[in-house]
Amino acid sequence: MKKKLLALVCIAAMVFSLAACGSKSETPAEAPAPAEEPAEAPAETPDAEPAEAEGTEGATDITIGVSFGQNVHPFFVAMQMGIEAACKDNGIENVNILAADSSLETQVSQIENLVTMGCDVILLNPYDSDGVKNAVDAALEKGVGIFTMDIDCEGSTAYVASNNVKVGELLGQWIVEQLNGEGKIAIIDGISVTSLKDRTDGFMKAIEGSNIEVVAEQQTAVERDDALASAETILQAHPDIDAFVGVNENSGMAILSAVTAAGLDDVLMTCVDATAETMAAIRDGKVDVGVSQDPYQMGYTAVEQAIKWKNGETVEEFVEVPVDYMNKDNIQSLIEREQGYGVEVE
Amino acid sequence: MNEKKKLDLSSFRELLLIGVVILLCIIWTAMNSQFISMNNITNILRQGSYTAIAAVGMTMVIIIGEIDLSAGSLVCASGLVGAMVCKSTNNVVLAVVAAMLVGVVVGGSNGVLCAVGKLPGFIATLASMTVLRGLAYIVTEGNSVVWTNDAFTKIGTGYVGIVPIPVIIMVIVIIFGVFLTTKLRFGRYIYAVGGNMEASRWSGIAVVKVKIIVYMIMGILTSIAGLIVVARLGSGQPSAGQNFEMDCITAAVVGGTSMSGGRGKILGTVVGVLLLTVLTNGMTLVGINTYWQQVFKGVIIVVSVLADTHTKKS
Repeated sequence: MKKKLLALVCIAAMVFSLAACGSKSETPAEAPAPAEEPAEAPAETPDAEPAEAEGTEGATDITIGVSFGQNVHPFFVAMQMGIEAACKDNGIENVNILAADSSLETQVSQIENLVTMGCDVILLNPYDSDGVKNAVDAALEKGVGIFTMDIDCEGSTAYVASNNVKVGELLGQWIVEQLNGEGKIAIIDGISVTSLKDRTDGFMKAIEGSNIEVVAEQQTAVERDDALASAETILQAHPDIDAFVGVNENSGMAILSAVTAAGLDDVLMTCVDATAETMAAIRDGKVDVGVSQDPYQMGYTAVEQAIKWKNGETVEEFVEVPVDYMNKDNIQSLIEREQGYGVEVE
Repeated sequence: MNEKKKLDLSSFRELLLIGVVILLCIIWTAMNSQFISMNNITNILRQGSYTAIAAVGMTMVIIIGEIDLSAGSLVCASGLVGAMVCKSTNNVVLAVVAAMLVGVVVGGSNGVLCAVGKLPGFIATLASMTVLRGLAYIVTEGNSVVWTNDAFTKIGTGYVGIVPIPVIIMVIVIIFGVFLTTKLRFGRYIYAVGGNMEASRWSGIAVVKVKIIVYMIMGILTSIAGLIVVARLGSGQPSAGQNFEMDCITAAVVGGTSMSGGRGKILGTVVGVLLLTVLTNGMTLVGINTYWQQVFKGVIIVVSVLADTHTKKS
């Protein structure tokens, strides 16, 4: 008996040593993006200033259906406000906004129902890019236009989103510039969600060719508690890094906690998305730079594109919603913009 | 004779686990000397503390032959309540009490559903898991909850001397758990209920009461874990504690608790937590990819349960 147990321990030990040797290799294939990730603006009073309307006349007879993967997150709340504002500005009355509460099945039947109701276009934020394929195909067959927002799916008429590769590139360029193309950095990123994966790819591409070395990388950006544990441990192994890169709110804020707790004050930090926490951190000079998306504009643009398409104009397959740096200089105006969406900043 | 042999083997099992932990420590130290630094040891203890606290409760729940899937959602919910109360009243004591009250209520209702309503614990806690997570998003509207009181933050980040506060709480909880399960009559009831519920009922144990109390203890311990998590993160997150219950269950199983109830030790679970934390910390320290880490965690579970079934057979 004891022998058996000993054998098991030996096997375990071997597995570990193998693990130790075979580390840092390729990772599992990326899963299709579920609901997007953290970002701006919570619900409450929709007193946002209506963005400039381009008043495409004669578009009022369009019927728009909207299906969100989930709409409790501030990011999607802002997007929904953008859609509502665009409809109001263009005098569209037939708008049906639904949310699938993070359930693929619900979203599929919502798409089917919207088609049956006679929608001309469906603005879709897929909960799962692959999972909605059949319903999307069926809708397209009936001549309904599918405009995806933030997350794409196959066959969509147009895809309206920030370019996440660009988000990563902006972070990378900033790092290269700040470090004069030389130094050691660590990064907490992710591959399980397409947006995070794109940011990571963009970042790595931007620092390629410089003498910047990524000494540690953990793909734990999705959950803040995981990201924090990773960040603490990475700082333990590499207290001498020049910059610690976060690619979303959770990783950025986790890095901030870990760096602060470790008492390091010369590490550059980054984050992405204009949320209450990230904006306060940048305003207070704790995090050096961030890149922000504009979900309100995403929703607004999607409606505009849908109207164009209904009027027989051609629309681009990918409509990019601009992203930009947020830093100490422009943070106050960003905070005001987000407050317009209902975000409370301490 | 038979009894004696079993006892020997089970303590052998714990020694074995400790052996694996030590072996791991040696490997990690060889690969990165930072592993054994005072700072990193503090890190490991702090990172393991909240899992260990809830896992002590989870072990008791599993010993009575049930399970608690709502732990992750409760970590989130109690932490959020603590954060919100702290934000609005700026009173740490009130925040802590409110969070623990959430734990008592949720644990209690899990217990009542399970013991009185005769629902399987799996179903009852699956329901509360979903309800709590939903409420967390409704109440926060998806936003994080930030407070300004430093004393509240200290629960997760503070030190007494060189020992982190979460570690001190963990030690107290472990002592409580060990004492309860080994020294008190209530502890023997727990094992009896899990070992053979019918027999315990016939022998006069108030099975219903035991189950409810165990779930309540679980609820309270989970809410303590929730307070530590929220204080550590510096903000209440409606998505916090995802999969946390699985970490607790894994630790208990790796530590030798039998999923069919009646068997298990608090200390085994604690070593289980230590093993998993050392594994994750070491792998991160030497730069092993995040997803390989998950693979090795899985291997650990299989190996330890295999060891468990074989111990039982002999």
